[in-house]
Amino acid sequence: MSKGAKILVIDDEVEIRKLLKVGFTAHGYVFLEAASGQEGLYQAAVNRPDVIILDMGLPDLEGPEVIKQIREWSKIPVIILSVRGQDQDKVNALDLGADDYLTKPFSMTELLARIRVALRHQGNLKDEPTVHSADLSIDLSRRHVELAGSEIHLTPTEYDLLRILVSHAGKVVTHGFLLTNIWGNTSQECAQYLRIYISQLRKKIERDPNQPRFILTEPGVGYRFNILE
Amino acid sequence: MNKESSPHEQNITNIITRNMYLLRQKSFWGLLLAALLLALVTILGKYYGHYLGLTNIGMLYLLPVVFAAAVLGLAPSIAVAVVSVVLFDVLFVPPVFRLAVDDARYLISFAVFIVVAWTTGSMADNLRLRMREAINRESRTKDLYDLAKGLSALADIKLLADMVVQHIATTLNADVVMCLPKNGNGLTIIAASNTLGALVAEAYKADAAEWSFSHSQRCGEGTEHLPRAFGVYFPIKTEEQTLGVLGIKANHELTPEQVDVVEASAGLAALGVLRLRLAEEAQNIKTLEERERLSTALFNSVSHDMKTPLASILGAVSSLVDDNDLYNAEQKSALLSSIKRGALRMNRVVSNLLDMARLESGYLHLNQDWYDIQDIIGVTLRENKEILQDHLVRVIIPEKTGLIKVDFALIEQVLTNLLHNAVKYSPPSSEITVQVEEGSDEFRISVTDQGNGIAPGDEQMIFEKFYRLQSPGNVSGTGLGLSICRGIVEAHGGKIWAETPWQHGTVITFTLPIGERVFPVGEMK
Repeated sequence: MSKGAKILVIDDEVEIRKLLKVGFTAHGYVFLEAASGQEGLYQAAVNRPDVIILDMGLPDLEGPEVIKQIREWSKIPVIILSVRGQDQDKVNALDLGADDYLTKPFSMTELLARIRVALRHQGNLKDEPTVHSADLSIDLSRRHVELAGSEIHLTPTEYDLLRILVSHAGKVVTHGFLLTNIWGNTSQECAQYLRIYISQLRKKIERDPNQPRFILTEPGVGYRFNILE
Repeated sequence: MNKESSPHEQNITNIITRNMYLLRQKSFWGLLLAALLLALVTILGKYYGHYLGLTNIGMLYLLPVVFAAAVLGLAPSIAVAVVSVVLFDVLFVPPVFRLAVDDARYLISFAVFIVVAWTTGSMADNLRLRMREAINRESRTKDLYDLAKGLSALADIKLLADMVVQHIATTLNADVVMCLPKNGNGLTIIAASNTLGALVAEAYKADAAEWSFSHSQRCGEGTEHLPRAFGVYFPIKTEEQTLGVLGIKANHELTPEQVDVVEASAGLAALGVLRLRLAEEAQNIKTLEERERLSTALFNSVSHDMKTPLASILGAVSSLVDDNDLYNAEQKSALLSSIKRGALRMNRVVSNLLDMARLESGYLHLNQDWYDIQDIIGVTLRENKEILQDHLVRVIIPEKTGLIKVDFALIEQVLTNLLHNAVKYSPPSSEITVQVEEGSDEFRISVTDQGNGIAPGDEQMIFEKFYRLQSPGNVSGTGLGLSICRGIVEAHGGKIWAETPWQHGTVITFTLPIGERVFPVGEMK
């Protein structure tokens, strides 16, 4: 699935498209490109890419609009490229069904990692019941969490939080998504609870909560569970 | 001062009628004393009359008259004079015990009594009036002095107008409004003693006010111009120009003294308005000069800080493009990392410039929410991993901290700039400490490095734009970082300062107010 996967880049910047073309083809992907939102929607419908890279600053269509139209007929993973300061657009796009985002300027390594994650989730691999990241293991079938061989006791909410993050491992999970799935609403108070729970969870599973390895914060957007080898 | 023009007599009667009640109160003891004197003189005359002689008794009767005139004034002294005449006539002048006069010469004595009473009383009243005027004048002068002193301390036109209006309103017990021209045309009310009063409505119509403003003359009630207007309007003017108008509505026509008060206050208001206007112009010029200085500094700084990384990028890239075959893998990798470093540096410069522009333009919108400070620090350390890799970073944070209401990205920017600074000004592999302390109403966050520290006296300067420590090493940066930090911290209502507490090393500390927590932080299930 990974090699030979088709990647559609929708970006009006020629230089960015050129750069991505070199990077993607070098890694064995098939490169498709579109310079506008309309063209991108057309390409997506005709060529059925496996992943779409979408720039938020298109001249003809707003980023969220493009995602909305794609999501009307397809679940193709969409990774957003945005510049700093477009937090709200980013969150809107994610809430509308985009899968992940990257802030410009970004590194090719990072983008390729995001693409791999998107493809993995897209491939809908039969999820292993146990997820490993470095010395942390989470057994989703037994609700059992272990760090360096010893069991970690989590409260039900802490476990739910970890479970949602882990089942989207590598992908950003928005605040809104976590709030709706844990508390059923997105009120201010719950948003504060969420931050406190994340802090407690980190204290239990991170070796140094000041520099977390597993649960990474994506400022203004949400959290990302990091799979370490 | 047009007091001389008003007739004396009228003034005297005015004062007498106005102060009749007071006078009665005050002169109770005076009258009693005059009566006692009269009685004493009468008794003396009765017992020693044959020895004193009628003329001397008459003279003695002048004493209570003079006393009453001096102490009590005109009316009481005439009353005492009449009583003296009657007593003298009835008790001493033949025929005794009858109100008649045998010898017509005594009529002259009686006339003298009245004349003495009249002249002495008038003189005494006049003196008292003068004294009262002097006291009034003094208190008015003091009031005006206080007003002048108060006005000179104000830096805001609205406060100044309020003070003038309140001063006149309390002094005259009247409604007062102050109008100033708005953007060069048309008057607008800037202060009013009674914002809902009829005077305000009238001043809004502005006919009389406009007239007074454009003609630079008093008009309205009791004046020859627009006498039917509601209230009186005084121009606020200096010798050269009219700056505004004061409108006054009292429940009686203004007395000349009150007109004086208003005119003097208007004069002070004019000076105050003029002073503020000049100060504003001076400030504008200063701002312009400052802006020019800043843009020059910005230009120099940006051209240096953008060109340096660009030069290294272009240098490395052209080497790779033109002489690709000459380099071995190791050299190529070195060139490529130099390109990466240059690009990262340019990215930082651009971020800082954008932040500065946002702060400067006033468009900085705080996107505040409740965050975990530990989380902000964690993200900052992650984002700056490459820059921090040659230093040992230690984070000291209490086991449990509450959330804090801040803009995540901006506080991350503050920490990033402080960490960059620490890296720039301290030797490799030295320790950088980030410490968090939570107080009852604020967080205190400090970044400490092991560098040379800041020269005494420079602790404030480093937060100024484009200021850079004189350092022997080759230190890069726009000199914007710390001033951005200050801008962001102050926008959050916090403070930031720098210290060199142990002869070496720099500690930069900033505080952030916590904000009102919705609920306490504790263990939750």
